[in-house]
Amino acid sequence: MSEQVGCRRARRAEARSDEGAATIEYVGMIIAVAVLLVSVIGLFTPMGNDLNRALCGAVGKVVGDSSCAGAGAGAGEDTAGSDLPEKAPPKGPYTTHSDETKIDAGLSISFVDIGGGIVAATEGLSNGTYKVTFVDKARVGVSLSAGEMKAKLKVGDYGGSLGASASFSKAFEGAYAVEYTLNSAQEVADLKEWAAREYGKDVVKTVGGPLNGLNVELISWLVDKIDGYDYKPPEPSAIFAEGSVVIGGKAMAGGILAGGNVEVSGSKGLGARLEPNGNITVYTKTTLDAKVASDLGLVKFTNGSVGTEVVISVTVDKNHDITEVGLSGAATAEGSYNLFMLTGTPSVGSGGKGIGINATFPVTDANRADTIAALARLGVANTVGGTAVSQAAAVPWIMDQARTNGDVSAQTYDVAADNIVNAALGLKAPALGGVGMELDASRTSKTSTGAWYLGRNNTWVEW
Amino acid sequence: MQRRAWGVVLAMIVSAGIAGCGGGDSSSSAAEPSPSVWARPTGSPMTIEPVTTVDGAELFESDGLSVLVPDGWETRRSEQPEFVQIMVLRADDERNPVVLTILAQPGSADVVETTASVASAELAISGATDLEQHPATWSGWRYASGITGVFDQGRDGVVTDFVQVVALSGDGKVVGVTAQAPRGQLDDALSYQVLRSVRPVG
Repeated sequence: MSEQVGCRRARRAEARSDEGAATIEYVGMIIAVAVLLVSVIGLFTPMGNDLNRALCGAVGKVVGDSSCAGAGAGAGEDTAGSDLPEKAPPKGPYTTHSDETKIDAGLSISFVDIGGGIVAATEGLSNGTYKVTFVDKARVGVSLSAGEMKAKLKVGDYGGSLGASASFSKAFEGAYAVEYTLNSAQEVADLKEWAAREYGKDVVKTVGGPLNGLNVELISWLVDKIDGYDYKPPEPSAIFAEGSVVIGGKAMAGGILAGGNVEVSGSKGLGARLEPNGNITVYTKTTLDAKVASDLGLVKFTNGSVGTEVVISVTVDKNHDITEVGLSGAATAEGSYNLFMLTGTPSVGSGGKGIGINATFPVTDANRADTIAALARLGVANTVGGTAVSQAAAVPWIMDQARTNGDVSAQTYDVAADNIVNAALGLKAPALGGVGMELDASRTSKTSTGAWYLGRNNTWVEW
Repeated sequence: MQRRAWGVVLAMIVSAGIAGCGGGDSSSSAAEPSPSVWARPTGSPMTIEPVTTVDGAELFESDGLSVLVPDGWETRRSEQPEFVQIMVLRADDERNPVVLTILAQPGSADVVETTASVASAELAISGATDLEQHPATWSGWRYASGITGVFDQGRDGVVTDFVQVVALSGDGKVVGVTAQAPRGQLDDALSYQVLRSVRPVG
């Protein structure tokens, strides 16, 4: 009996000794292979410090260097009013705060445009949730293929790890932005850290070529094993198709709608947001020409803009039915009078700040035909070209629909940007920065200082 | 346990060695199409049967594609930064051309499906009806996605059936081809034969 106990103790002691040895061996393996990888990559590029920074993104947590990770989440602020208004507030939350953090770690290698890289736009929403949108300005993921790595090698549970890690590149194929909806600041921080690690790996893989990408994945997998890092990102809540895809889609549709004579350009097709439920929202920038602006009593709408620009969003569901139309406009304090004139809404005291107005309404069988006609007048639909007179009629019609059947809201912004139109509309959909509306990550700190919605008596109600 | 771990290391060293011999090419290789689950077509499968001859037609080549141009038809090419368009049309029927749209950026199956989804949304926004997206098979192309529907041209009550195919060539070119004909006549229309004759060159 005592002899059996003695044997079990001896075996346990041996097992503990093995575990310790195994851990040391793992660390040794990582170091050995990392050195090997560095030496191999060194054959291709004179990177030096760049490589260090790239590896930092992949293994930063292990070496205790958090400088590669994205910054923490912006704090949300719930400012929803408690008074009973004449009309229920808009169903969706509004943005209280957003920030953008570059996570390209200053890498300047061939496929990354200097000043480009991935931008993580974090929005704190009024309902306490957050939206994080990774915008890939350099479309890094396109140069990598998750599929080619999947097909190459599978060791242990490495395949499971690959599925998660490959999704960052995968999600960017054909898209330039991925949006996540999260419930807490901690979830935001976790997602950003994951993105930083994935991007670090992507950089190293691309520098070394596809096969070296396998090595990076394997090293990272081993490091994660030792480190206990097992974070799996949530499913994205939306992706944004890149501008060239949207323009291409518009042009192809134009082959049917306008006999190939449709006018499509990057300044018009901003982007498209695709949701898992099959909804697609297409964003189009429309410029009201000078005559329309004059007819509507508009003198000066924004700083630096020749025409009066609004963004029209149209959502189509999986059955190809139009379900919602939106109109967004923004102006500096100086141009706010014209914005209120355009939208036919009473003015809000902006306190010298920029202002944005959003109007949305549902599309049903009752108003579908008129909606398509209005979109055509604005040049959003391809059926007929918009004219000055019909443009002038279309905007008031859309605003009337929103006023009676949908929602109209206004927000004032502290925006550290010269072009408030781009910045404020970017707040509504950060990933619209791809084409036609440059989203400059260096312009940070966009904070909403006030939010209202239009009540039944055409008066603003604090949101 | 330790044996498996060392196996991993061996695999890494081997693959590192392969990489060392493989050069520093960072471009994407030809991955198998893996369409995004969000953009998968839900309609019935569609097969586009290639057409290699049309009576009196001549082969026209441009931008890495070839297409048969029937007698009495002509081609017009236009170019924008994001795409090239080639119209193949009868001179007396400018309203119903076969239109080839070639994206400037190379793509993948996901790009094909996303582009097709955007195109179908655009068609819906402009009032096209009976829209359906189909998984498509088209010999000579790596991947394809089809859209069918009906469009009221609003002129003299002309209503057309149309088909649009977005396809991926072997070298990663994303191409959209459209054809339309009066209701009920598309299958036998010359324009549909022209669409089916489009092939990547090389």
